[in-house]
Amino acid sequence: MTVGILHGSAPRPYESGHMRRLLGPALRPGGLALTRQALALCRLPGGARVLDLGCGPGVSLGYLRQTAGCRAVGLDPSPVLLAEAAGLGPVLTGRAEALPFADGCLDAVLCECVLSLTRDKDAALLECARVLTPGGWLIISDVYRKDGPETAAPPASPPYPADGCLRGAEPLEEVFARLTRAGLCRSFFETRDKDIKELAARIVLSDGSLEAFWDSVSPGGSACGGGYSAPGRVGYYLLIAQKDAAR
Amino acid sequence: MSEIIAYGAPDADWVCAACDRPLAPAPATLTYLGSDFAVTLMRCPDCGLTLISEELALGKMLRVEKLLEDK
Repeated sequence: MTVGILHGSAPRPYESGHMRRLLGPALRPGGLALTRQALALCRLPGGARVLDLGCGPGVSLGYLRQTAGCRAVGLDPSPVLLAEAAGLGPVLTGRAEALPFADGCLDAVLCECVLSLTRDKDAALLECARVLTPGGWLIISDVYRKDGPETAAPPASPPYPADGCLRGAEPLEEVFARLTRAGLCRSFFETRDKDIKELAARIVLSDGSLEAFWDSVSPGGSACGGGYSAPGRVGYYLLIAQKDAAR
Repeated sequence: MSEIIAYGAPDADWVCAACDRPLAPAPATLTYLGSDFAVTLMRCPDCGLTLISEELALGKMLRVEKLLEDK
């Protein structure tokens, strides 16, 4: 299986050294501290079976295996990032909408800054629910739109594509509705807007503007922000949901 | 996380008036609204005075302030 979660064509901005210098090794706002917080809330037992969906270079995968004592596996579409992650645990190439796992075989799925990159979010969440055991945990951290659904999404004007993570951000109400449709019950939620603001500030201090950053990491490509330069309109959240035990 | 080169190219030409020494890149921490940012700025190696040029103050730093204040 070689299809990807990221639907843009090369170059993959997450593979760039500049992106990593600014986002940190975890390649997302909040970093590993947010992962630690989420795992502590779930109280996973030692040996828990966990999927790090969109594992990137494997920072969370390594933590899950080496510190949290989980039997974790990573999945990502990028061969470059998977080559790094492979040093930290077993990895697979695949897509969120078609997880290569049997029904009910995982205790938790870690979905960090990934849902916003999936083209079919409902399918991805249904897949997460399918592979989880009843009562299993789905941990999501991701961007969301603060403006309402009546507001048009950021324009996908060239050279920026329409599939970056900020372009995939949705209002929280929509995220919550998708979870419900997938049979997932919210058990914890908090906004982490400061995390994404600090990241945006780091980018501005380094590159002078968000637009300059997008251009540097993915000129004309599928950059994370895709030219969306209004950070006040996006936030970040941590959400933990459980699979309905009756399903 | 690695430090950010926050100064601009023109800042590299400054000389400390008190010590008559060329400024050199040095690590610094900018703090604003409870957020810390590890950056590299130009600093006098003798007296330690750090340069924040007008261009930096009214450019990147002003944009960061507005961003953190949600303006």
